[in-house]
Amino acid sequence: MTAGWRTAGTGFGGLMHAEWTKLRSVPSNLWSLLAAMGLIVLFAVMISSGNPGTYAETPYVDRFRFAHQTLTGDGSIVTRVREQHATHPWAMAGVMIKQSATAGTPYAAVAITPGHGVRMQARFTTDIAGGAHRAPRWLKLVRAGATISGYESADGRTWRRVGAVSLPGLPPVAEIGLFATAPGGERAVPMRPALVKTGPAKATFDNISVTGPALWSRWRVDDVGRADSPEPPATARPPDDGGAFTLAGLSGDILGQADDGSRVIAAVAGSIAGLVPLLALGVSFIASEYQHGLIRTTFTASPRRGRVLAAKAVVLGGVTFAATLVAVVAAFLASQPLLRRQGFGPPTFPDPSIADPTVFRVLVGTAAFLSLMTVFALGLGAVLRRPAAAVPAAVAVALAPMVVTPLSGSPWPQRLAPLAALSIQQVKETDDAFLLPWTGRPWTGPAILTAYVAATLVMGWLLMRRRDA
Amino acid sequence: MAAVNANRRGAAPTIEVQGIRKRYGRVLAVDGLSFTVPPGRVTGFAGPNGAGKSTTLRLILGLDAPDEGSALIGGRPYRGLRTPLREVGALLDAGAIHPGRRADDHLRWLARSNGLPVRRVREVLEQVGLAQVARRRAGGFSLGMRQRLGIAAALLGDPPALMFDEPVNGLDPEGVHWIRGLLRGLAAQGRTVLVSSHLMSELEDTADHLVVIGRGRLLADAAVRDVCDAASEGRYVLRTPRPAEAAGSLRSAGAAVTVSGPDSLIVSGLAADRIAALVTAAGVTFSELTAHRASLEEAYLRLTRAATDYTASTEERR
Repeated sequence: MTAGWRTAGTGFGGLMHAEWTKLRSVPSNLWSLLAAMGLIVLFAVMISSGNPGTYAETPYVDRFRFAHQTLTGDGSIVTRVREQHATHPWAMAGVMIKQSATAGTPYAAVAITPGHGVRMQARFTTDIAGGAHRAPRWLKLVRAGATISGYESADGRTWRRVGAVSLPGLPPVAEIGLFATAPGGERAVPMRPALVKTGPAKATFDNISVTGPALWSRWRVDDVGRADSPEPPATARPPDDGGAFTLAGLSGDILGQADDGSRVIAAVAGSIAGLVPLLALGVSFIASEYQHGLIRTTFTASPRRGRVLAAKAVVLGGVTFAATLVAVVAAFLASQPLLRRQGFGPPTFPDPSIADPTVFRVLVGTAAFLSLMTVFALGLGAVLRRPAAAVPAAVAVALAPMVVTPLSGSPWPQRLAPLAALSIQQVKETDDAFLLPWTGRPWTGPAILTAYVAATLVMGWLLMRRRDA
Repeated sequence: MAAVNANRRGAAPTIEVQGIRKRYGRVLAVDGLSFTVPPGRVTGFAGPNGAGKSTTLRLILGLDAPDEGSALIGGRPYRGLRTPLREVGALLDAGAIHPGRRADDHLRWLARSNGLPVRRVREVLEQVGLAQVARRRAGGFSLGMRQRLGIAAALLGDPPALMFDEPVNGLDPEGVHWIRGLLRGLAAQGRTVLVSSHLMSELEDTADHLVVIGRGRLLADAAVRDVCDAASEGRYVLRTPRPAEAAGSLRSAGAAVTVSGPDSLIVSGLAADRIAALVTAAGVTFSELTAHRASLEEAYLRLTRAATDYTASTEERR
């Protein structure tokens, strides 16, 4: 009876095996995992199921207020955007050359935005980033044949070229002038709420000058893209050289339909919903042991308490990662046919592949985010010990940015909170998307969350070691 | 189950408690307590509620850290044991189980954590009589079943030393009888066995040796027989048909007399020949004059009277 006794492993592996046995042998733990998985799939399917063809109809949005003159042949326009209301990060105020004041015709423009600096854009597809400045800023647009060049300047003397585009279809006679617009709902990614205030555009220009060989000097103001355009308001007086001129009142956008990442984002739409049962699981995985006095049995069996916490973290993190990865991949696969039916199809929305690095990062990263948050909740449970205190604390800390960010309007709560790790879900979106911080730096958020996890685990370990069980 | 560990490793470890002191806030729970628990016998650990018994066990198990002193098992602190379930089995609190977990799963994770073979789960469940309910969730267990599950956990690693805190709580008479046999059997195998209780009657038939504490201090550390003898010292049972007259004459000679039955008295403060002479001089006949054998209960009450935190009289005074 004693023969094989000493051969079984008693190291960290045995401890992890014990914690895995604990995890799987309590039904509420398994229900929490299943609830998280179910919510992830359910949200993906729900958000992907819309009216067929909804997003297949409009290839572009082209709506803005345009104060323009007719330019024949080569020429240029210079202005200073003196002031721009920051109604939306993608509100635009600047100079444009366009075939006519009719929506959908070829154009090239250079503009300033409140949230994305100077941009040169053309034909709904080209978007070149200039300097990360806000108004006031000098802008210049030069036509030389089919080539349009955009410039920006701080003082109107030293110019920096933003970019140049070719518009082969632009006729010799075109409209040149000032424009302003601010998105209402146009910029929203359908699968992701945006964190922006919207409102009508308002921008004030001065130091306006148009040069050209044959210039029709009469200014006109048109609301491009609005059949029911109201009378241009009083502020839309034609500009006079040197004086100030304000364009205000219209909301709209100039935007071609582009892949906004919806085909991928939809799969992770249930991240927050799935997070809640996982937080409860993470907290209770240790706090319920304190609640039932079981922690004494645990520490009697394994007196080295740091190893117990480490084993719990590894097992819990591994299990939640595997479970949520299965759910996220299932959600991704289930949502694809639904999204195509809704109009998110090629060529604008190419079929995504799991092997694509971005898709892979979003799906695997979401599972990693969820498992890190669960381990974060474990750390809080180790610190606070009572489930009745630790579960609400974990939910409050985890979801705080959802409340604080809209109230404060500042992007920093969502950048610095544990929830910042959602940045791993970036596809094409920007900081304007709600709970999607660190534009262009998807790995920053997970690094922040990892720091939170490490800090709570270390605090939990120190307290565990010091406190009587 | 054979005395495997105890036999293979030679002597089972001695539990040594050396001058431990532990304060929780304003309450001094254990106050410089020292005693040893040697192998091969059942050591009873007695004291009134709140005397510090459970605290002492927690200190021995490294769950709480003593402010002073140390507790060693075979010369090593509990926290230094690599596979403690193979060294010391402990039942602290029968309620310390997750109500949603099945009985065998509870033992299974314990086995995993110390590298014990999983077949031990089945063996100890059979040993404590829970094999039929192995797949039931512990939340539905009666107190007695929880006690048995806790005892199973203590036995899981076949340890040479065992500690049980109030193991009889909630057990039915059959269970009480069973656990006495279990404890004596474990000690007979050469293991070190420490059993706490606040009820002496439970220990009287089980323990060989007694450690009695009150208010965190040691009151007695002696064989059960010696504890009884100490309480019996100088007391005699006098059996007489006229107890009132006998008591009167003895009291007038300075003896302390208590009536212990319709025809019996317990006399102290006088030697036996003096008692016989006094009673005879008073013309009272007696049928018996013997040294009094105090019950363990009685001995315990005498020991702990001064150290009892919550006596009936203090309750009444409130």
